[in-house]
Amino acid sequence: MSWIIKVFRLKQGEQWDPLEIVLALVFGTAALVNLIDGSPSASSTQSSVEPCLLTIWLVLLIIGVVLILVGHFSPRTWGYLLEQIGLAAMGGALIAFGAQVLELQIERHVFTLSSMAGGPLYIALGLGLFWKRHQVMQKVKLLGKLSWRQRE
Amino acid sequence: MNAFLLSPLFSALVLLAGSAAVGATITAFSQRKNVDANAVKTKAEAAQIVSQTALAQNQAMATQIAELRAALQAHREWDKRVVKIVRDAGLQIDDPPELWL
Repeated sequence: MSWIIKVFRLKQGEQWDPLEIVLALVFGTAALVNLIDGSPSASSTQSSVEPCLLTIWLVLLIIGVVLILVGHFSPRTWGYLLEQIGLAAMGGALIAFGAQVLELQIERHVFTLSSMAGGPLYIALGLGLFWKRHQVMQKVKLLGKLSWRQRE
Repeated sequence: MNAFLLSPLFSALVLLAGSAAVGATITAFSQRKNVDANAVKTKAEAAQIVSQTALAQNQAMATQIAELRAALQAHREWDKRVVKIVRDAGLQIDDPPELWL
């Protein structure tokens, strides 16, 4: 674990959310590779949507990932403001993708346990990110109350 | 428009996701003045914990004071009754000490 602390220059007392960081890195890398390299062997989900819409979705996902990572690793409180934008963008993008996958699964009557995990799992992850955004906003609101009390 | 026709659910949800991101950006702009955005996160969180602890202690003290007041109120009523009985019996007695409720 010590190398992680050295690489990210973590200070004592700083709280990182490993799940959020890992999710952002995985989806960000996948989206970036897809955007740059295209999709030579496009999956059925990708071919079911218009390429321009897919590009908009990928850009939204990448913007979300970048804002989450910058906001989360920022030592200043403005990081919370950036992070919550990123969480909304990435959460929304994941829900959209999950809904599309689920729609295809229903259309094609794919109801095996492993394949059913696809669409609902993305939707659950997206909802989880919105939940996390709510927690970040609660922090921001509390900090706002605190700063107003200090001013009074 | 074709994109919407090909996958209406995905189009609508991407539009909603974009709107959510725009909404979050507007929220960030509106909140930036309320929050000291340049404060260090760890210090701000520590201050938040301290203030929350202080608030919780304050509430606990307020509850204890309210209970104490209720108990003293009963005591004051009893004092008054006893002083009245003693004076009615023809004896002299000072007023009970003030409880400052």
